[in-house]
Order: sequence, then C-alpha cells, then structure tokens
Amino acid sequence: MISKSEPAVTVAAAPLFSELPSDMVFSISRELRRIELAPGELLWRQGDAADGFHLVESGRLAVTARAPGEREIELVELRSGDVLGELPLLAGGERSASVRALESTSVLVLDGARFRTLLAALDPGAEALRRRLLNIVCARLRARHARLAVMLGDGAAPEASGDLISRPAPVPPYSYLARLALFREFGAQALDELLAVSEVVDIGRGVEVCAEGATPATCAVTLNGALEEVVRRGDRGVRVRLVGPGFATCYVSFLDGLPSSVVVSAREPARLALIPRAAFDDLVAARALVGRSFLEALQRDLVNALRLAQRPQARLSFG
Amino acid sequence: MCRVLAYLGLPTPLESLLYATDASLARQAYSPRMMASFVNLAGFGFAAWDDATVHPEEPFVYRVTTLPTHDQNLRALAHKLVPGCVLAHVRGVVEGAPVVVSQQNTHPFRFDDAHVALAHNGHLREFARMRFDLQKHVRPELARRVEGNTDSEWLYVLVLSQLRDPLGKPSVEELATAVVRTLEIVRDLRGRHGITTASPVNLFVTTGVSLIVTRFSFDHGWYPPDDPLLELDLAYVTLWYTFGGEFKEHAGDWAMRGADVASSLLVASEPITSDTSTWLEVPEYSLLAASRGDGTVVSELHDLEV
Repeated sequence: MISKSEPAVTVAAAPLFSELPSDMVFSISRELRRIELAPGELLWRQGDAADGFHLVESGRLAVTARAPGEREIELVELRSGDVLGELPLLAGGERSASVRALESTSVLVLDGARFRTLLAALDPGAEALRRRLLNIVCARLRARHARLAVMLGDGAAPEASGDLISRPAPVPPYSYLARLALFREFGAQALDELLAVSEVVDIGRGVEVCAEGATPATCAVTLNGALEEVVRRGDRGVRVRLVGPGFATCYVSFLDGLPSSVVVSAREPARLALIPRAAFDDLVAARALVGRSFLEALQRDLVNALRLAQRPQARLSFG
Repeated sequence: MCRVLAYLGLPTPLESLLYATDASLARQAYSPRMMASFVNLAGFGFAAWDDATVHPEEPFVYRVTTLPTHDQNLRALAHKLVPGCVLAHVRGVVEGAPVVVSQQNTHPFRFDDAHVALAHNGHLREFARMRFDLQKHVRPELARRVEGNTDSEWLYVLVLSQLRDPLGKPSVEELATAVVRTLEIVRDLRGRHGITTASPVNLFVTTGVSLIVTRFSFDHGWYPPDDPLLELDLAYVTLWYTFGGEFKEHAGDWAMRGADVASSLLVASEPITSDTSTWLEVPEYSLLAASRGDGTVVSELHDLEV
C-alpha cells in the first residue's frame, strides 16, 4: 500500500534530515515531487545523466551495478526513509548504479535545478541540506581511505616530513586560470578576490603539503603541475587521487573538522594557490558571490574525489 | 593526440572493435567523447594477429591516411578478420600545424621483421630539442630504419633498443622493463635539455601475445604560453579497460560477456561504447601488463614511478 502521507512526515523521519530544524525540513519538503513505481519498474539505469535527490517514501528498491565480465553486483536494498542520488544533487554526473522497484514503491524527488535555484536564492533549508550532504561525502571519502589502509596491511602510517618548503611564484594569467575546472564559473572579479586571500607558491617534486593525521594549515588549489593524495601504510600505498590543474585538496578537514586521511605531496613540480584556514572559512561562510562560486566548485571537486577513490588502484612501493 | 585501442584474448571479429559499437574507434576519429574539441583525422592503422592464419606470429598490418569511416577496403577486411590480438590507432594532429600527414607517420609502428608493434597516444613537447640526443640511445641499425618524422616512431625504436634482441619476441616482463627504461631515458634527456612542459606518453606495445600499456605524462600540468593543445592536456590523457569472456553484442548492448575466467582484455584511450558502466579507468602513472595463453588473459596493474 503506497503511503499518501505528507512528504514532510517522511522527510522529518529520514536520518539525513534529523539534524535540520523543523522549519527547514518543512521548507525542503514543499519542494519535493512524488514518483510512483510499479514492481520491477526502473527508476534509472546506470550511466543515465544524473540530476536530483530521491527519498524512499514507501516500498523497496534494489540498487545494482554492472561490472566488467557481465557481472551484476547487488549493492544494497533501500526502504522507507533511505535516500539515493545525494551525490548528483551536488555535482551532476552519471548514475553509478541502476535502481529498480522490488514492489510498489513511492519516491520523493528534489530536482537538481530546483535545488540550485534555492541555493542561489540563499534558502536556509537548501543551504543546510548542502552542508549535510557535504559532510556525508566527506565521511564516505574517509571510510574509503580507511578501507584502503586496512587492505595495505598493518604497517605504520607515515610521519609528517616537516614544514612545507615553497617559494613565492607569479600568478598565471587570467586567460589560463579561467580555463581550469575550479574557476570555470568564476568571473574575473571573483577570481581576483580569491587570489587576493591566497598565496601563490611553487613547490618541488615530492614535497609534502599535508601529512596524514595532521590538520592542514591551508587549502591547496593546483594551478600548474600535480599533487597526489596517497594512503600509505609501511612501505606500501595507493594513490587515491591525482590533483592536477584546476583541482583542490586539503579542504576536507576544513569542512568536517577531522584530520587529513591522506598524505598530500607533489607528484610533479607544482604551482599552488594556498588559501589559509581563516580565509577559507570566511569565503564559504560569506554570502558573497566569490564564496558561493568557490563552495560550488569545491562540492564538485569533492564528489569527483570520492568517485576517483572508488576506482581500482595500482599499488605503490616505497623504500 | 590520438585514440588507440588494444585487444588481447579470444578471437573476436575486428568489425566489433572498429565499427560495430556506438563509440567505436572509427567514430572516435571524428567524434571522440573524451578529447575537448579535437578530432583524429590524420590517418588510421592497425596490426592484427590471427592464430588461424599462416605465419601466425606476423600480424595483418594496415596503415592509411584515409578516414576509417569512408574506407570500404577496411570495412571489408574488418568484416572477415577474427584476430586474437589487435592494436589499432586513429591519428590526431593540430589543425593548421606544420605536421606531415603521411602513411609513414601512421601508427602502429612495426618493422616487417620485428615482433613488437607500438602505438602512441600523446606527444613529446619540444621533441626537436632532444631528438638528436635521443638517437644516441637507439641502436644504429634501428635508427637507420626510421621512415617518418614523428616522436612516436622514435619511441618505438627506443623501446626496441632496450630489448636483448630488438627483433625477437620478448616476454611480458622484458617488454615492460624496456618500456619503463624508455621512459627513464626520455626523462633524463628532458632534464638535460631543460624541457619541463607536459608530455603525455600513453604507449601501447604488443607482440600479439604480450601487451604493455602505459598511462603516463611527464610534467603533467605545465604548458607553454598560448599552447594549442592546452584544452586537451589540462586533464590527464585518458585510458580505460574492460575484461571478461568475449566482447559481444546482446540486445543492442555491447560488453564483455561471461564472468568466470578473464579470457579477453580490451584497453582503449576511451571506451568504445557510450555506456561506460562495464569499463574501468586505468589510474594515472600506471602500467598495465597482460599476456594471453590457453584461453585466458592474465593482467596486472603497476604503479609507474619514473
């Protein structure tokens, strides 16, 4: 029997919204539309363009993913109160799994376009939901890093190698910076404002930017060259992400308040824009255009980081 | 910049790899999905090893400057060939650049009496500055046989020069070592000439039985001013793979079928199906080593620290 209760009841009961004030829960629930699925009906297929966030109101859904060799992996079964499609709400992209109704099922949907409109209008409910989603992505990224660390065995986590050794560097021309992923939505003025609170430096290959277990002093945006995020135990490790031009690192700790779960160092000689913690906090807390553009770019960067961390990795050897 | 495909495994129709899928290599010549505003119209080539033919260790080789989509000879050939190993390439060059489009410059490169073939997705920026020093690391009898003027053909003879017998049939281990040594030599030469600009070197090297593929770039993230290839190289040059029993179509859906034993491996600059759900991305700075035998393909992924 499909529930026809008010969406607000389902939303309020969902763990995702448990920490949100009731007025924000109510304002979000007004934006939801309902989809009803017959048993066996597909909600979406893996690889479809993704946009929007879904909350199971009643019924059951099976989430499956294809893998090489004609394998179909059943990932999870979802029930009332469970959510799916959180990452596309932050960053779009493609559906990473297929979702099919196992019985008559009702799903509440928040469209991505509507969510972005609410954020642009500084809606507090949408803003609170975004922060909650960012924390979820941070937690999943950390869980993935922790799983990789376990797979690497019981070697010790690496120790910090000391202070960041860098030298001041010129800012690349705007015509170049505007083509980088992180700055693509920035205008010239917003980019100037961001660079005004940043320090542009060069570092050599192998220089450590942040140690695992440490709280970074700055968020690093790669302008040239490449950094790498590595999970390392003893003499073994895996590179979970290459941070090339137009991507950022060392900001997860600023979002969730926990120490870094990876070592960040220069895979290639790199030119970086370093944004100190205080300036970072001011940027994302303020409602000015530069802060909003920066936070939207970071949420895409964060979701991309999670996707990359979940792909197969080559083992690294040290020493 | 180019698109490359390598297949190793059970005999499979060449047509399946070159034409049949909705993002086939032939389509990637004019409509690649993972190259920003770039096309690959400067030539096509393949080498295909078929165990059921005479001289099975010698591949069919086909290299032309015409487009694969409009090449009826190639279509007819692809319809008939059922090889167990394929290395195919569509060549891309910058529009208007002073680049020679000729059969000699099409990939894959393979001397008639050699067992190793090579195709390259990438480019060595400022190659002219290091070319003559690079030649010192190439055996003279191989250097004399270079016909074209691409950086890729020089990489080919440099790889061959690292083998105990350049014209022999190396094991997968020896081939991997030769590829790594080649990259080390290039790294050293770049250092000596002060070359610090991004140079992607996704190499596909095969004997028909063994296959080495790299996803690698020197100095990723550094570009000369006003670089016409900037958009292309801002992201690391892509490389994907899929594996399984056989690459087959079912209800309009092309994918590797059969899960028990990996019998076939397909590696490509970008997936040859628009549905990428059964494809995996090769990590940056990695080397994929594979070999086939007894109906199975064994493959390993290694970090490439050069």
